[in-house]
Amino acid sequence: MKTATKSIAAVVPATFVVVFFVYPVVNVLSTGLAGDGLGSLAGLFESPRERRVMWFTVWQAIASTALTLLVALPAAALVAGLSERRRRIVRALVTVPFVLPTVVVAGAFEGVFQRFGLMSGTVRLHHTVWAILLAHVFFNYAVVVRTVGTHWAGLDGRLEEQARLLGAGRWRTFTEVTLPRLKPAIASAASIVFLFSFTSFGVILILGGAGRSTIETDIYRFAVTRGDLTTAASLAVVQIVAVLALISLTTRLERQRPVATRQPRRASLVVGRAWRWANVSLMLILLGTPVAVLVERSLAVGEGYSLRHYGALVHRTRQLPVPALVAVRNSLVFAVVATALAVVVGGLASLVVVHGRRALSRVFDLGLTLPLGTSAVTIGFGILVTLDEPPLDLRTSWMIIPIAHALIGVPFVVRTMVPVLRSIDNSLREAAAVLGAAPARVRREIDLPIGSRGLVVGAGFAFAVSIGEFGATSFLPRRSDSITAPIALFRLLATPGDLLRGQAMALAVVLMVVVAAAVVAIESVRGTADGGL
Amino acid sequence: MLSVEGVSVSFGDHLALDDVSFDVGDNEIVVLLGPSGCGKSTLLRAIAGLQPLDSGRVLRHGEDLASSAPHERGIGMMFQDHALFPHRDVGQNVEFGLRMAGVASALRSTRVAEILELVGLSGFERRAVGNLSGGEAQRVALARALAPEPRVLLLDEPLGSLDRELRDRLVEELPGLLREVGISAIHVTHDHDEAFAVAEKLLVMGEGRIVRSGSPTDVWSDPRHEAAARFLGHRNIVEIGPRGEVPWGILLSDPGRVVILPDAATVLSDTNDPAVRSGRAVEVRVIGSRFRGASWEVDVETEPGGARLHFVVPAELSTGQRVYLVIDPSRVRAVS
Amino acid sequence: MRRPTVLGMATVIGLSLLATACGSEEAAGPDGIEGTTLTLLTHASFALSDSTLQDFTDQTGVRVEILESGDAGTMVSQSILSAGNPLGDVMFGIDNTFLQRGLDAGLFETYASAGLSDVPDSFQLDPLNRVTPVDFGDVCVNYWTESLESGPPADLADLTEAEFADQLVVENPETSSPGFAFLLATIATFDDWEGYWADLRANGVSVASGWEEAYNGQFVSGGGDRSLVVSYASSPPAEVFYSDPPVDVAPTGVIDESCFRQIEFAGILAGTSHRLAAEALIDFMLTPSFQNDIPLSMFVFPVIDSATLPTLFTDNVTVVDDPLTLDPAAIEAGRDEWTARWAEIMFG
Repeated sequence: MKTATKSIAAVVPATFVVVFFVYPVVNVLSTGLAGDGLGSLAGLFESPRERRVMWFTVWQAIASTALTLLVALPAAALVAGLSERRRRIVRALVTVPFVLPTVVVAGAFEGVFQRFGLMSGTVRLHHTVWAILLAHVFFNYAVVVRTVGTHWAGLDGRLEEQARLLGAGRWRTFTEVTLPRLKPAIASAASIVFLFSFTSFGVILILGGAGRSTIETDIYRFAVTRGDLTTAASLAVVQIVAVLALISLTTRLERQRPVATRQPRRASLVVGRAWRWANVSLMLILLGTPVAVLVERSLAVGEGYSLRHYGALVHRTRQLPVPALVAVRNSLVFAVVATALAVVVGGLASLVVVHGRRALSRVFDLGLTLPLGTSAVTIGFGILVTLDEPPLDLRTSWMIIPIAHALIGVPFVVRTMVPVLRSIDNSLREAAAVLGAAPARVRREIDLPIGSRGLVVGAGFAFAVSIGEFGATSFLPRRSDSITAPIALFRLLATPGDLLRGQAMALAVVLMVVVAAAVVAIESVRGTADGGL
Repeated sequence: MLSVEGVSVSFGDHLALDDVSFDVGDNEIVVLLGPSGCGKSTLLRAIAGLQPLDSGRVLRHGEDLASSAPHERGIGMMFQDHALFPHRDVGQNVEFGLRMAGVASALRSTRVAEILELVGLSGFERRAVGNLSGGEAQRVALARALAPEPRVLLLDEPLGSLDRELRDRLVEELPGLLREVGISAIHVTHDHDEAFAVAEKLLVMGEGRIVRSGSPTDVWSDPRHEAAARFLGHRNIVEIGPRGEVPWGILLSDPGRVVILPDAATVLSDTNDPAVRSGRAVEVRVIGSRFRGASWEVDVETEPGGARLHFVVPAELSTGQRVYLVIDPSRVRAVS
Repeated sequence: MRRPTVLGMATVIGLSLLATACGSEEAAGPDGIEGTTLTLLTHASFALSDSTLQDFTDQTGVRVEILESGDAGTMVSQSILSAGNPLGDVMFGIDNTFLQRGLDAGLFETYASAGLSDVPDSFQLDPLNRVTPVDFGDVCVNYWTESLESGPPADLADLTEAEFADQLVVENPETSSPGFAFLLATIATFDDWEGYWADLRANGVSVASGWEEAYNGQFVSGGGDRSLVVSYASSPPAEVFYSDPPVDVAPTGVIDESCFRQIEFAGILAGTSHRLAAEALIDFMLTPSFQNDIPLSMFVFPVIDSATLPTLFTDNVTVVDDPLTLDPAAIEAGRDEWTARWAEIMFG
């Protein structure tokens, strides 16, 4: 009985990841390394250039993660202190950057740099590492605010009040009472930010300047430009090994059991007024400026402003196979399917991570996070050469896109749900058991509804990731009428002309609005599901 | 009838339960009394199936429960801090067990209404559990445990978090309620007053073992075990020498460690009493005195810095007063 | 390249239900190809009018499904990986900078279309006819007329003059197709192309990772401050076609002497089971109805002599007579060394 129920929870996510990730990746890498794979692998570490690339990949990812945490943690505190309704809105708004294609954000950043004279001179941001770090903070801000903020909101504030009464100052209270309880969520968020930065593609190439390379961009360079699949596969192996090492480190941090959370009567907030204002301002500048630039550009026509570009989205331009709005609809359909897949796979996997045997739990944690840290080229090519025969010839099926998106969405669901599940007081599960609930029923009646706090936040992520996904999608063959909005946007920008640029900006703004609305909608599902816990 | 036979559980090197055995009869209320950490919660969890046994058996009507998972045992349990499901309202909490048992919806609501009425919370069905007071939460937890009509109910410090007044009231109500539904119950507490009020049979636990069991009166008046005596609230534990010597004189009783029951003393009002003259009485000074309604509780000392004793007497004695006491040797019990 | 089957795992979750089988096998009778569905594998810049492929279906009874991949390089790499079990029946969009790689990997089946008689020899780079030229475009330096008061540079050499300091933006040849084409232009022009790039660097050339960033980000047209950019000969007509508010004359021009020719080919993918229909599609690509649709759809030029260019093109651009070229085999052989050397010069 016990094993049967456990195995269903384990088999579905395991099958998904093995079929759509592990097997394809192993297959394409072994094909790539078939010749002189080991020699090529060793050669990487002997080449000064590749050694520099690996080192840069690692440190820029660490720096991006640290900077993002530094900037976004106070915002997470701020979010935790809001009412549930406001929290939902802010959580949705910070998700907006997620869906913006890098090329658009880069354009907006450069626009900001131009306006503030940061293109050259003493304080130059254009084509520097700082521009990369800044963009990573912009994209990943939401990860920290949503993951940590949600967890924070569930902490019992009475502990902080107690600490204050015992004479601890604000800072001591934060470091000694709040921070230890936040650690699992912070570790969770940090690992996602790290992986995103580690495998960042467009940001490195566009904002960092053409001279910068990371493992991710070099995999593309070798696999596509040079057609050197052996070196590309070697780099992909290095990337995967590095990511595995990192995840196993952070999961150890995450594992430290958080103190059980109960229904909070007061949020555990120790943020002062000045802090709040400083933070809101920073949030507005960092997230708001590029967004404002985009909105302005989408409205600009000649010397004036008009909504004309938005109107044009309804019609097909020659550069797109379908009207831009149809691409938005496609993206929505894919996002719904991808989110559903990610929720089922990630939700079940979270249960295994929390309740499974130690070894199984580790394997799941690693295996399900790995796709986030694997190059889009590796995944795209892997699926292409592996799932190429009936009954599973996915190469020409539209399902390939939501499946690839779900692979990236699953880690978000797992990472947001696991800390919440771990924080459930075990006596609730025991109470359900003695009331007659079999283990599987306990998961359904206790873990899932209470864990839904994490699940919906993860689902919101999965949805946003899918809507905005560009890299993996562009490496997958797809039918021209199933073009996604980010691909359409990129294509609009691939031909000269103000008309196309204006439409592209309008499309970007539509995407932002769509994702914000969708995330609000997804997260309000939970409001009714669990009575606003 | 539930039997626990030779149950042992250890956590690493620590032996949490050491060969524990006892029976609970049908409709009997058994109280497990012991200090925190003595293993009484572990014992409850072992009976419920939440804690695997190292050795021993738990039997219901002679049938070994080893192969039954917690949800298959038909044993109800009320948790410390109640463990109410925060994502469900009062009615949904109470009907949970019925739902698990597959009871039809209409029947469930009737049953929920009945049981809420029984615990005095009629009409609370749609209340959120987060907004309940401590006493209400406790009653909901009880209702939830009772709703599926388990044959055995385990209560783990059910009144622990409540204020005194509420607790006293519930202590009075609980046995009646349990008898009304007709159920065997094992009630765990560290409070002897609560134990005496509820128990039909009292088991005193210490360091993973049951050190004394019997009716509350028997256990109280003859604890037999020093730890049990202390835990039951006895304070007059003294060593009697080979010739009956005690710190304040002589006590005509068998040598060894004894507990002098608090009702053992008679206050002599007349200093000419033969007992005084014969030296059987001991002169003490009253150092504390508390009115307990029908009786008085007094703390006395035999001389400044000497032995301190604690008694219950029928009439008032005031602090500082010097009196003669006679200790009834038949109210002195040997302990090990 | 046989691989163990995934059937076992697939059935577990029943996803096979969701996976549509590729290249539906509506039988092409021995007499004809009617009812066949062809898969046309192409890159993400492929575009045509709705009616064009419909014409083909009306004429032949063959439906065409378009399968898009990333850029041309991605498409070729993917096709090499899936050789023997091709993604589609016909590939469109492999250009002369990637051609040799595709030919070496044996991606294509030989087919000499009758329509080739209308295509100038200069476009027919594969004597074995494994691929068929369909369109061409020239990668040239474009300029923003208004910001160059004393006129545009005349040729590549002028770009190193102080007058044009900090004005040129190029794309990284390691990540961009026009960027690579421009590197080839300099290699075809200068014996000491390395010295030329060192001069360009000294003259403040900016390197963007891709065309989108260069043109829309750094070039004046997209709001940037650089007045010279590596783009296409067809960019000026596109500027007019997609101007907003509308203009008649392109705000940009092309430096003829800088143009490197990119020719795009189509080929029948080896392993197709619809050979006859695939031949028909290749034939169709060389007919006026396909060729005349090319300029305004993809902003490149048709290859057949009898095609007519829209006035938008004839008014705004002249096709260069003697563009810069390199042999595809030389390109493939030199690519790694050239790009590596280029990166050393530019970032070293």
